[in-house]
Amino acid sequence: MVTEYRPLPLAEAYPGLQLIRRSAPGYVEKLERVQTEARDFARRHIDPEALNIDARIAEQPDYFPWEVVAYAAEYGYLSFIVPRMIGGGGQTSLAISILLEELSAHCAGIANIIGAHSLGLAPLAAGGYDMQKYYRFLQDTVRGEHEGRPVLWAFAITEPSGGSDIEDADEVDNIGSITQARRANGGYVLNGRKVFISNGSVARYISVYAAMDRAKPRESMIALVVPNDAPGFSVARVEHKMGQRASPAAELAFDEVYVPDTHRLGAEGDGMVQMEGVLSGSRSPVGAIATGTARGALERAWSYAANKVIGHHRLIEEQWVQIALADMAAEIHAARQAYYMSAMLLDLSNPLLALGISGRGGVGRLIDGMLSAVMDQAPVKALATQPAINKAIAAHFSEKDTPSVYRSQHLRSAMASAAKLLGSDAAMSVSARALDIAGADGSRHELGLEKCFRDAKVTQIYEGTNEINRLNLYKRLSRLGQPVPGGQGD
Amino acid sequence: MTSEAESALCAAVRDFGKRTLSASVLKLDAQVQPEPPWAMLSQADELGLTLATAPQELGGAELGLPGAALVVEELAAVCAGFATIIASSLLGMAPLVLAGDLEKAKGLLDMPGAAGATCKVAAVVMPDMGRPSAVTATGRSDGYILNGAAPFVYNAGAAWLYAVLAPTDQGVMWLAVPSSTPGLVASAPIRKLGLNIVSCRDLHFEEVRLGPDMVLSRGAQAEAVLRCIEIQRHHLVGASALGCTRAALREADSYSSQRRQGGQIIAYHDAVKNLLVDIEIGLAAARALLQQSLGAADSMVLSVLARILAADAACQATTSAVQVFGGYGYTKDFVVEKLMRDSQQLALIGGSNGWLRVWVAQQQETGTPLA
Repeated sequence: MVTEYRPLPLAEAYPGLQLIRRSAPGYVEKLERVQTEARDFARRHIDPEALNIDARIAEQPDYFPWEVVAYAAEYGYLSFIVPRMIGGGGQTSLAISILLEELSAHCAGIANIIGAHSLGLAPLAAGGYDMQKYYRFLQDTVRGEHEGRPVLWAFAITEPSGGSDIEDADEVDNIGSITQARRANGGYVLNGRKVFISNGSVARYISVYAAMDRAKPRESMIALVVPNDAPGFSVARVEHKMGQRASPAAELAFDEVYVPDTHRLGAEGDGMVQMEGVLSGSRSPVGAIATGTARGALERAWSYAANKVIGHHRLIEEQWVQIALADMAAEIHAARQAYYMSAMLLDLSNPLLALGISGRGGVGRLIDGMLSAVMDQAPVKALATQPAINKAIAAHFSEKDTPSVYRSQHLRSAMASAAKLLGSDAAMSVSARALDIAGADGSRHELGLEKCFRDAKVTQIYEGTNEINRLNLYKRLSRLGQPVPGGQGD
Repeated sequence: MTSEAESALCAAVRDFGKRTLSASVLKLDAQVQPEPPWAMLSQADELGLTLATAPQELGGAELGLPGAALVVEELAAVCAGFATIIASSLLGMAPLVLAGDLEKAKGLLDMPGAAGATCKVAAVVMPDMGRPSAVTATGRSDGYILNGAAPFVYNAGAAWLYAVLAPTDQGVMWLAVPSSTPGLVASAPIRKLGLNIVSCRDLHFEEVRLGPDMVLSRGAQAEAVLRCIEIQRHHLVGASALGCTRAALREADSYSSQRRQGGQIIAYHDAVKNLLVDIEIGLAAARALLQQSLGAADSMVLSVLARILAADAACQATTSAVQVFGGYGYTKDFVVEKLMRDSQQLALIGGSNGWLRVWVAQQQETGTPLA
């Protein structure tokens, strides 16, 4: 009898990676390393503390586990997606998703700190990383990580009056009152409020989306990086939540906050497009967090059932329990395949990654290797900010994707929503089933199972409620020209 | 109790819920080390709720199971935790009442309550449906000795008396164990998912000596009492679940008819309508089956079916209610967050739905007709 459920290694959980290994061994090896290290990190730094942190924040909602973040920094998780040429991990979408599944199997709240942080950084990558412009933000993030001074990011779009509306280009005009940015000498002045911002109360930098013209938010959306010491910025409150407590959700107030031009991401008015790009990239990681949460519930229920003695047998010997465990494993398996595929689609459109691993990206590979070798040295900045490098990236990006970029954006967004839906629904059903197996004992805090259940629910809500994601999935499929009833096609 | 008196009691309970209970629900839920809500329990006691099913000679209201289910549902529509305190107390009283020895019951009721208690709350100690008990009684010339562990006892720590089901060499036996009995050790309150205001503890019986006068029933009578209490437990859990589902519908309905997204009130979106209609389907189905079961002559299996349906409906309804509220529903500022945890906790009382399904199937196997 197996008394413990052990998660499979990467290539067994997703055999498709064995095929990919033949053409891009580096891609797969990197993923395997990420998974091994994440398991090590979780065992050392999450397992001993996760339940204490959860209990502590129940009493003290503004407590933040900086000590775990400091350990995460030692593992490079704060610069995980920062390009290697700036000293970051240069990790892929699939890699961060795998990282998040592993961390979530131990504590979805702690995973969400890393997820929300990477989400805050993601808008910098949305346009293919303008190294010259974003260098100091990225470098500060990398330096902070090396110096034991964690620099966290947050991503702020949700408005008090419209959580769902602002995530949808077709609905954003319905928001009554939206955070506003107006032009002021050499920059912008921000006014408004953002709610439920993960990491909002602990982030050094916040990527904020605002409308230049409240009457036309869609056309006038703008993305700005707001440092947390900007005058007029304040944390209005930290929510007292059901679960994922390690990751604070904050209400942020912007009262005449001045933001210089150099802090603008992309161009004026392309905020909505950027946001859609970021959300396509952030929903499959939510699928990964949800998959991990479900796996955590399965692992705990399995070992509970294997160790629980009832009369002369063990609980796990009862057939109904075996069937429940099998169903749970199957749901997790399906959810994982969905986020793997969604993340791989994103990786296929990532210019940095394409340069690094594709056959025609020899130049990119060279640059990447060269730069990472001298990552912390002064000349790196000069190189990384060379317009030529940025041009090469941009050229590659457009050459690679021009004919189908529009189509593939819809595909990416559709698959991301599918991964988010499948993952979050699995997280809820698996964690509820796990409680059912363990019975009243399952509801004890010290077993960690009831925490999985509480942590799971928000995955159906954040990054667009599942209802919004279903509608998005339909819309994207119809725009891809799939034969769905009422679909408009291209 | 006449049906007029029953509906008057229900109205009084509804009033109590609205005026007194609802204002404190979120505050009580947030307590980290929950103290039994004695002030409110005293008021419930004045309404006659803690002894609702006891005969008049004991100061009770002689409420039948259908009446008790109505009271518990009304309370649960405001706070399932409070409803569970009352329901668990009624279950704890049941072995006294069903034993039929009023003098003995009176004597036990006169024993002192738990520290700080302003009224008498009881608790029942019995395993999950169809599972073996870990507490055993050994007969001695001067009475019985109890040994073993009883996990997750509702009202433990608040109760003045535990009605304990214990297998002996001569079949099962119900014993009355006053909370002050030496050798009865209660753990610290269990930190759990929901029903936070109910004190739950693990009880340990270490050579607990009881005189023969503490035996409430034995043999065939004890079996019959057990059967009766199982049926009561399923109906009261089902009634609490029904209350939670009602509350979920009430909250989701009122929020969705105010909140705007996508250019209109969210209740007009099919995505939200679907959630609301499913809550209504669950509510109607669970209520119908519970009523059928309450009216049945022998409802052992039917009550389990009704409880499974009601608990599943409550879990689904309250999860959907949180979904309707979106991010706000995930915060402690709105009662739907508590509803979702409470319902899931309720669904684990007396055995989880997964296990109870197996139990039902086993009855069929052994030839008991299902309904």
